[in-house]
Amino acid sequence: MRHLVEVQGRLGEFEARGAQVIAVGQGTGAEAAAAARRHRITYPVLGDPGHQGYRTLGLGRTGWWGLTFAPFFEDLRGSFENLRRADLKASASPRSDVRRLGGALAIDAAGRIRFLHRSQSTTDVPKTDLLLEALR
Amino acid sequence: MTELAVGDAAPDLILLDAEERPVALSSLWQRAPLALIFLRHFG
Repeated sequence: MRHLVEVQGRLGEFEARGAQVIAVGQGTGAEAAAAARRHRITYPVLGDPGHQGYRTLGLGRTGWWGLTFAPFFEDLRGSFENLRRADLKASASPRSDVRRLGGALAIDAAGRIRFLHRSQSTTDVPKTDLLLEALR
Repeated sequence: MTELAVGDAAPDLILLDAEERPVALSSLWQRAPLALIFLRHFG
């Protein structure tokens, strides 16, 4: 969710390019909307409870090492920040695959993919600058 | 199946809004270019 909060802070840059931002999560639409409210995200957050979108885009799954210890070594500060922000009761969705990795894409108005990032680890977050660049 | 790449046609995914109504991705990108972020979880 750190990435969503970062994008929220730069929403004006997306809007200046005439682009819209949409986030997708593994839960229901209601769970997605609740997460958006919790993190004060003003752009739409949609649900993908069956993970069809994740599979179609080829977004990967991390191993148990990648889920547990590796993030602490790769991104100590980020890991503690995640723990600080965590609202485990609210965030747990029975539909979530905890090993699923995220990603991002930019799609132009003709429906062509202009940017595609598949996260390789839990700390590998798509770079907002590259996403913006693809939307020029 | 070939993996999607930059330059390919985007898949017209169906996602759910807050009222669990289906939203086709194509209905969004036809309005304006789209940045789509897939989250690991809702934490």
